[in-house]
Amino acid sequence: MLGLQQDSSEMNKKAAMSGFESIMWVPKGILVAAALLILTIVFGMFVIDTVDVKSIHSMVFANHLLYDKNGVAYFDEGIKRVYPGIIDLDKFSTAVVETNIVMATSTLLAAKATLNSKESLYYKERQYGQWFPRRSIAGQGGSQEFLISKNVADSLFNSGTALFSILTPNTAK
Amino acid sequence: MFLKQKKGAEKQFYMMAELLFAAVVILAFFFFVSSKISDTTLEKNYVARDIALLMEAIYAAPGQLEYTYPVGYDFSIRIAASGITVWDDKGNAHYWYSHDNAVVHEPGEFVFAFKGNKKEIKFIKKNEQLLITCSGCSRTALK
Repeated sequence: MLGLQQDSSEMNKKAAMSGFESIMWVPKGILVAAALLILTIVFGMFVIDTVDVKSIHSMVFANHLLYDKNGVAYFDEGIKRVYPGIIDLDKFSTAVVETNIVMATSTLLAAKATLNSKESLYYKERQYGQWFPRRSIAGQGGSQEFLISKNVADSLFNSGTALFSILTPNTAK
Repeated sequence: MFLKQKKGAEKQFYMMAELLFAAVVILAFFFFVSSKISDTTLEKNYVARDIALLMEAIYAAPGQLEYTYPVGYDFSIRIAASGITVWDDKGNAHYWYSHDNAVVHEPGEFVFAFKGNKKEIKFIKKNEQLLITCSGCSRTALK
């Protein structure tokens, strides 16, 4: 009788232990999942899979406007010669630039070029007005401004400065 | 005695299950790391951006120009007015450039599929025409 009682109490203990161990698997699983998630996030933070070329692209775009004969560079039709750095005042207009230089995706870059702080041309004028950073708050809705200054001359050989303000939205990668 | 033996076996079972669980977690993490290492997203993004910047630089260059661009990877590259798309069997990357409307691309829109040792794209700008050819690749015109 006493032996049977001992067996029964040991069985109860065993059942309780088994239940306890099963319950302990839940926090263990949660802990391992959390550790795995943290490791994946930390690892992901160090994985670089893109290259930020926004500033380089802004510079190249300014050069494209300035040196391309279909941009604002002076072009002598008679001898078919382009004069890099010499701006044709007749071509220094929003309409000419937007006709000749086309972006299939219009939501990636907008620009304003000012010649000698007087004449201005816009590339994607509406976007430029919308994107212009009014407050320096970082985030998806904002944009980054790149200022590029170039020494130029106009077609009358008056030297001066062309200032490019190029905006790229923060969402463009 | 019998109960003690059973309890021992149960502890062993739990220990084995824990080890198995840990092995599965470690293996899953190694597979994740391995997939990231063999991933070519950075290379594709790099090539797409590099060619896009090159296209704008070519437009900006006054006069005639001949330039050979070494690709270096077994990628397929689509050069179109809408941008540069680079892809392989693992995925694709796209980057844009501002297209010069007056420059005619020969032969228009096309895909270069690179495979082999010599992987190059040759850009020849002459008389408002931009001829784009390749070596070490097959070329498919889309338009």
